[in-house]
Amino acid sequence: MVLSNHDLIVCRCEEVTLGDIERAKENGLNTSQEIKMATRLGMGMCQGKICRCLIDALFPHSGEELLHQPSTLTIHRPIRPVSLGHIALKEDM
Amino acid sequence: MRVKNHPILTITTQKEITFTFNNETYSGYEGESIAASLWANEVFQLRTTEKKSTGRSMFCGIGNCYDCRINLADYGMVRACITPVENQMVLSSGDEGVANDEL
Repeated sequence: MVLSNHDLIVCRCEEVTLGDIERAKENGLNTSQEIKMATRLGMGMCQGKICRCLIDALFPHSGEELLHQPSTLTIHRPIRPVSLGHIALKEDM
Repeated sequence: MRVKNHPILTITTQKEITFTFNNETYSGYEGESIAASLWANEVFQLRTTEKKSTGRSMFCGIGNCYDCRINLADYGMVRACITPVENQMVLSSGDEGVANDEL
């Protein structure tokens, strides 16, 4: 099997490829936040721990901006995903 | 995945244990992670993805990426790369959540 760049996986959790991102760009989405909303990139199980640096590299900021805000993706980071069942059981994980 | 020789550390043999993964029985050693045990048994694919049904294995190996998540019977999802394997563990690929009768 020959992989093209389009098949490169960017987000492993939500299975978003570079091709999906390029298609979203062609549809007029310009910022990393818009791409995230359109493709669910970075919204999976790992909450963008793996792919955020890739999407930030695809949509780089100018130097001055980068110093103040290295990523424009909003971060709602849990320490780790916990199932509702375990919360209900109040289990120490 | 098992370190058998090391220039400085002395490698001692650990107690052998057995566990099941997707109804197959495998052997592992106490103290190693589930993913390392399965890897040593040449089981590389731990689950398939929800959308495109492609295989997923251990990826980051440090508990960050959740790619190696598998189901531990009567408990729920665990990360195979950082969860120590135990004797008589019952593991499977699908995420079946917590057993219903406990809730």
